[in-house]
Amino acid sequence: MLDKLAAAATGARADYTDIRYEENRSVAISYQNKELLRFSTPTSRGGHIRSYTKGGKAIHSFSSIENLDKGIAQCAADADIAGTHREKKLALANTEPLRGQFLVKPRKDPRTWGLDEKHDLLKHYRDLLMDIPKVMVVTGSYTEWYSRRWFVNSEGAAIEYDLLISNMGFRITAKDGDVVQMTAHAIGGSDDYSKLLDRDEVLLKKGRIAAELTKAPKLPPGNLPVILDPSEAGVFIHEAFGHLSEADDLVDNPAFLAKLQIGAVLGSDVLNVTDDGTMYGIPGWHEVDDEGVRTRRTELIKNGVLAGRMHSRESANEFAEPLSGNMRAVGPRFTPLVRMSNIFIGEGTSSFDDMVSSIDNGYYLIGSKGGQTSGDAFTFGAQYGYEIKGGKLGKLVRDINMSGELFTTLANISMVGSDLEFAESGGCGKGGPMQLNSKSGKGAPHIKIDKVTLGGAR
Amino acid sequence: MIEKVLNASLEMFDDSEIYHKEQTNTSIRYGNWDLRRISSDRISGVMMRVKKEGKLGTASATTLDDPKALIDAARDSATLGEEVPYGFSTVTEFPEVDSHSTEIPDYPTSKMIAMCEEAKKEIKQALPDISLNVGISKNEERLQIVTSGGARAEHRETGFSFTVSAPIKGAGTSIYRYKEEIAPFAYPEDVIGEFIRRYRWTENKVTPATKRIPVIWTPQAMYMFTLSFATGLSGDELAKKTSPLMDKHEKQIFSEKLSLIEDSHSPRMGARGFDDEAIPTEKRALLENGVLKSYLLDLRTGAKLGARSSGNGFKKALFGGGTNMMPNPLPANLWLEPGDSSLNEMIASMDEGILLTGGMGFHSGNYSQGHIAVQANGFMIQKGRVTGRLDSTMLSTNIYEDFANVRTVSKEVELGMGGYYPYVLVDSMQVVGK
Repeated sequence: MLDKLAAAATGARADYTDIRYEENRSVAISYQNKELLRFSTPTSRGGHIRSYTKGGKAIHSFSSIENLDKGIAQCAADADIAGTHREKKLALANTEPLRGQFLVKPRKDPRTWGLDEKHDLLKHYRDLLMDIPKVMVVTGSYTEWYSRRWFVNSEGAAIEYDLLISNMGFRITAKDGDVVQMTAHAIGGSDDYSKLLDRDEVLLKKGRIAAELTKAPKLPPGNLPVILDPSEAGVFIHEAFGHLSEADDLVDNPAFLAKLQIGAVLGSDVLNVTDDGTMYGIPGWHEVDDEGVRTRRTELIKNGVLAGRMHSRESANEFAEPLSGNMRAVGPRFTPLVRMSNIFIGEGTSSFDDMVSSIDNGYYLIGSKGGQTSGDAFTFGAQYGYEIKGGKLGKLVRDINMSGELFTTLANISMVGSDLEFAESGGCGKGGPMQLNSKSGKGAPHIKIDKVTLGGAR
Repeated sequence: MIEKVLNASLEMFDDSEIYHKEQTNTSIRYGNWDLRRISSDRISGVMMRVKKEGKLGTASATTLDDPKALIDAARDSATLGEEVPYGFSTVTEFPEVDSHSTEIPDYPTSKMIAMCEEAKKEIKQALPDISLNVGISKNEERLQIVTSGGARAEHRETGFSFTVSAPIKGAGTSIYRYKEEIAPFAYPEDVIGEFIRRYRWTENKVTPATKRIPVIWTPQAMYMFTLSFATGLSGDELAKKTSPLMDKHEKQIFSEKLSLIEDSHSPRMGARGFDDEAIPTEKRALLENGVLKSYLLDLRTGAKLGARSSGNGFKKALFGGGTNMMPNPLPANLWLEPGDSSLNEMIASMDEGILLTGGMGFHSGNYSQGHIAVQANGFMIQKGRVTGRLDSTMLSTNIYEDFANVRTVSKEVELGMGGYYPYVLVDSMQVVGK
């Protein structure tokens, strides 16, 4: 395969061409209560071409390898047209052309477990959760994804690499009268199947919370201090700050980039943020990215000061900053984008008890429930929370959404815990068309934010 | 080729369905006034659903080139699958819809670039200091669904779209305007004009006080209402008994000013004669003067509820969709009946309120129950005119309470997510600001 692709790339009528070809196999089993929604082993294959000519860029996706030559010709012609119209010429930062194999070596390879064993394990957890009083609906899924990839470019890079991840996710819906509440939890998130075994307790805890929430009051709106648990803080740093560290989101927004110059003070010196694709066992682990660059550790905020960002070869050249190995695509039809690998807030020195006792009137928010950002504005939900009154944890609350502005909120992080924890579930959506990337990890210790806008209830 | 795969499957299975989609696309994107890239795709996808001894099996691949691999994977899936109480479509006739333009395949890249360049020139004169993004694309799609029960459904569609956007200075959010039609259109002066008008509204930023105020929902924000409502109508939520619309059939649930129909047969973007299970789509009311008229069922949820599919099985989800997804009960092309007011009249009628253009964080709220809590994007209206863009503002609502009181519905209708909607002025909603 590499020889065929290399011949096509070097023969292309463009200044630079690269080709990524993929063969993917997944396992997808999903249930809603006792109803099997899906039991399937989908496959996909196809490729993606990128060409640059005279500083212009074109991309092309194809499904059938028989269309490779047509795609190469189309992409080269489009790059030529783009180069004619592009005023500020694009170029790629230099990198050593990688060659060789970069293949996973799983501790407990999920592919060696039988489909029936995976099926039985999923049903076991589902049954546990369905037995909880008030729980009406349990949606559970097992997902395994293996992607074999080949990448070549006209500079001589030629690599074969792969990606593997397995996880189980559950959504637990409880109902009492007209009140419907939901919690969710995912386990696994790596190529180690043993992380899916013996997880009854953590799932039961989430299921029981869903049932308790049906009796909890709604969180009232207001502007108050909060403590975020590691799951919620991980989503915060991913959504609110992480996406703004992806350079491809900044290249065409000079006004915003001006606020995010290296050396800008973004928070107090307790705040440290890093992206690290080299952390084996965390969802975003990978060895090389989808433009043939090795992944690495990138310090994004050091002692409150912006220290670096994530790049493609194109953006690294445009910003004159170091490469980071963050260009990744979720499937053959997609072009790679700059994506976080494993982003996390570094450990501080505060204890959870100190954070609680420092708050007279606020909330402790737990469990991520997704989020969204647009520039410096962010919104994200929490699965549940507890009131904090007079420095003590109080009653359970539900229906929580918080929002804010990044720079103010980063500056309002006043305490960082010493209990860094990574989420087992990955997940990040970006791009148009949307690319949902399960190989994206996030982590944090508990953090205290002095003020956020809470808009949970009417 | 698809018939060959179907015939091969008949030897192995009791019932089979093959879904095959082919797409081509060309798009051009400008970022910060400069041509960022030209993209093209030639992609396809296949999904097979089968029944063997009553058990459901599925398999998916990228092309039809390897029928044996597809059939073997479906067989393995059916071996471990469970019995399902429904069969695949046996329908042989479908409504004809006009959703394809023969002009699309040959529409030249040079004309697409020229339209972007013209937009740049006009906007540069009006707003020289912004960072303008422009996008234009054309696409063509062919969908075939065949079943062993005799269904032979084929749909061809094309699309041509144009987008302008620019980040708002001093904020992370953007102003954007968009147009999409089945056939190529001429230079969209209306899109450019409205973009310039709205960008000029962003010069000031305003944070409203925390209280209940009137809100105009733009067509681009209406997806939050329709998705929340459609989730309540879904056969899935009904079967789970978690829908807030259980037992609400023929009851008044919203203002009588709201009439929402599914209309996949009119020649507009999103027109389809059948769903992703080869069941014919219907033109019908979901809401008639605020009264709930219909629910959304696919083959699976219809069978669970002892009813027939309403032609609402679509391979979509809140984020995207895809050939290898199982169908879910979702609305076909929506049309919210317009009223007789204009947007400008609505704005002029308000002493204090919001023009809501979008919301962030919709998916992390409890929207299946009608609850929406989002960071509001849009504009502040004071004393009958727009006074600035919203800043640090959350909107918190339950649609089943607040959309009971709609003041006016506009006569203008625009394409939004999942359908075509007018502007809707809701009497009051909770905002969280200062």
